[in-house]
Amino acid sequence: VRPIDDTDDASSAETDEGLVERFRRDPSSEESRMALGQLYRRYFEKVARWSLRLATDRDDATDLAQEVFVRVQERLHTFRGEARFQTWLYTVARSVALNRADARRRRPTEPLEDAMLEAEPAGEESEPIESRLDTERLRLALHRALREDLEPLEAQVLWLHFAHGWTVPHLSRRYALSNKSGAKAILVSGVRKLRRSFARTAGGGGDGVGGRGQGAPA
Amino acid sequence: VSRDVSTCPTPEEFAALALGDLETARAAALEAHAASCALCAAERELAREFVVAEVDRATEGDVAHIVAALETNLPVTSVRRATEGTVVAFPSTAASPATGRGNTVRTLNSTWRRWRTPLAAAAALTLAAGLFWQNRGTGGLEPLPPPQDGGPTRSAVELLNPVGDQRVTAATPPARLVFRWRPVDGAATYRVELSDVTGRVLWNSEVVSPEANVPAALRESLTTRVRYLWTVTALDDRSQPLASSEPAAFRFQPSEDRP
Repeated sequence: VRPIDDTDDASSAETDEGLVERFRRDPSSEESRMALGQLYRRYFEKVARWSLRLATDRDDATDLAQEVFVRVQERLHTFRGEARFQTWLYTVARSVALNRADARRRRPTEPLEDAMLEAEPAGEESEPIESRLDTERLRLALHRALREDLEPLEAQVLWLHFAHGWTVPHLSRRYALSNKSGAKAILVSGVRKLRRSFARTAGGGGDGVGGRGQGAPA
Repeated sequence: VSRDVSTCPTPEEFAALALGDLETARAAALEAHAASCALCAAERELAREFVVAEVDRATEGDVAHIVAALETNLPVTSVRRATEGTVVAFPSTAASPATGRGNTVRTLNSTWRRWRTPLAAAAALTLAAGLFWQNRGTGGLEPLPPPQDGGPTRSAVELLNPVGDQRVTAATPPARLVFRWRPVDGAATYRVELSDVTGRVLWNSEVVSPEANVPAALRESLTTRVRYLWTVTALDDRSQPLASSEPAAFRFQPSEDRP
């Protein structure tokens, strides 16, 4: 088995799509594995940086990054070459992150939960609203709430945090939220408005997305 | 402030926008849409974050750590290092389809490099990779299956402890660290080796009994939440390799960390 070398391998000048093509010619060959290894290595740093923005710590980011490349390996046969490989890689990474955030949203111990509960008036239900929404319902709910309740910035922050898993510190940096609590204050106020929007929808005979008593979608 | 969800551009389009791959008119249309649709503005930022991947000096050490883990853990990229004999692949609990259990033994008189080479067979590698990643879970390192009996093994070294996540009460490694493995028939001594995930050997020792106490200085230099690999080679009375283990991974996880 010849070693793979990123620096002097002729394939270093090859396009991503060319490497995918080379891999597909004979996936079981050493040449194919080398092509795939080279392709992966081109994106290790990019995926690592991206994962760190979404993860709670370095180990979590490592798991996320590894999960992305595992999914790439599983799904590579679906890459049609209609767009750049990097575009396709992004959609894979986005999908992995969405699934992880989805799972995390349903856990009972989110860091934000305490702040949200403190902000809720006594007697409100304790389950965070967003934990009862899958990604698509959250998206629809945010679109609806944007019309009457949410500010665009609140919707963006809620979407990136709850749907995609962006951390509060990263959101605070990305949106230059320099106040003491950063993005957390926006998340708390956004959730309260979202709750209000749900209550109005439920009371007005809407479709009940996230309305009290609807429970979490499967 | 928002539009009908059905008219929103796809994530692929926002990635293409960030890459500069869209025609001018389409790019302008996406920008205009994002200006009036908060969630698409968020999607645009999300795609841009991925494509631009701005360097943050504060996290460059973490990036290097993750890249090293990817190099080591992904079977496709571990081929190079394995053949160079500098790094071993991350152990898989499903990496031994032939035996049906992970981290078991497979060596006889091969050297460290040579026992790894068979994994270069592409089909086996791909299968092992798939099985590994499907079964690895998300909560941490998978522990070894419990030993089936207490007797010695004939042609392999089975590592017993430490394997997987080792809970510690403080944010420091435990006060004592002992490597243990199942004894091998005919072994005169055992060579133990500890390395980090990049393959850098941190410590090695040759012992007579099937356990090795890690020196305090080394133990104190280990870091919590970091994966380490260790291996054992059984040697006969002429110091020739008799059997060796696959590498086992472990890390110290402070108990306050979530599982």
